[in-house]
Amino acid sequence: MSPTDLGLHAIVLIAALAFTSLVQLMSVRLSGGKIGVVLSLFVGFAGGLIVLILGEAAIATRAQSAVLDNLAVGLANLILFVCCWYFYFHFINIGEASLRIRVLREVERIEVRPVEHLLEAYNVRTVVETRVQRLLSDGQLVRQGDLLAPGKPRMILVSKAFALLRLLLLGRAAISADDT
Amino acid sequence: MRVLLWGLGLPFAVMLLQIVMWRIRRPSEDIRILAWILFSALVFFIVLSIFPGAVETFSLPVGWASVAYAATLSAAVSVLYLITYFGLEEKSPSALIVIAAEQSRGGLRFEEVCGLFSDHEFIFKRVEGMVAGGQMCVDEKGIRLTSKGRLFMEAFVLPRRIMGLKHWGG
Repeated sequence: MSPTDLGLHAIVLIAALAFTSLVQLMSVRLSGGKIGVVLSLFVGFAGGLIVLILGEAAIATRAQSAVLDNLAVGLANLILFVCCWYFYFHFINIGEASLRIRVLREVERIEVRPVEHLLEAYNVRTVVETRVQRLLSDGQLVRQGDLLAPGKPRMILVSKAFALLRLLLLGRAAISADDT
Repeated sequence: MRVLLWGLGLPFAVMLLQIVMWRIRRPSEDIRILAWILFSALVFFIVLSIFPGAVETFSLPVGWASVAYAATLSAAVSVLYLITYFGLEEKSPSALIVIAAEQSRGGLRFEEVCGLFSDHEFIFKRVEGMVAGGQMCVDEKGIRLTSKGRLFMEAFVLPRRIMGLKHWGG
């Protein structure tokens, strides 16, 4: 494949990723928070994917290289786009849900004080309150009187998929060792 | 076609190698070793593609642009795998809450959910990790952020500012 055609594929990928980020950030900002962070990431993905597909279609009509080569690089571009979106998803999600980032923020807020003061500002109760609120608004937990009951099974399915992946990648011995 | 084959084939070969190696013995610094193997495979591929005779022998991508594209694809898939692998070792509080609620069969009270966690595991262990990583320091006056910790935090806080988010997660 000619460097010119590869350059065109690279430009399409960069444009799709830039558009993903723009759509994601603006969808939260312009909706005034009505679109949640996780949903906005999927909205951004859809926007970027449209740009990628349109760009690849435009290259296919003009490219000088073989059709099969263009198709393969187009598929490589799609995989690269999904990989980059996955990094971006985690980058944005860490800012929203990471305990480490919140601990850093609270340490900055309490300024220089003994470690025990950190627990006054941020402790397990705060973690649970924040998480339960998020799970309730996502519909993954539902309130039944004063009980918190399971709602949509999305996180259960993700947890089961991760358990399966742990079994495949780390082996049964590693899982048994972690459980003990 | 060679771009796709090498870009995907290289990290998948390393993943298979890792699964076999871990079955024999899982190293204690597994993430560091996995990253090292993935990076070494990538360097090996780039070095191999410099030799003209190797291009046809191993069906390598032809030309520097194709090699660069295959290497980028391989690096992206490798990093994706590393992030997922790292995630397998972390305990997510949200997942623990949902699983506990499901296993309870009737639901849990808020206090029962709080009982699933401890400050030591979810707060102090992270503080210890960040002190060891140079993001915080503790002296006789108390705890504070280092410039490295502030920079690390700001990188993740910047998108929140752009999105106009005011509440804090965690």
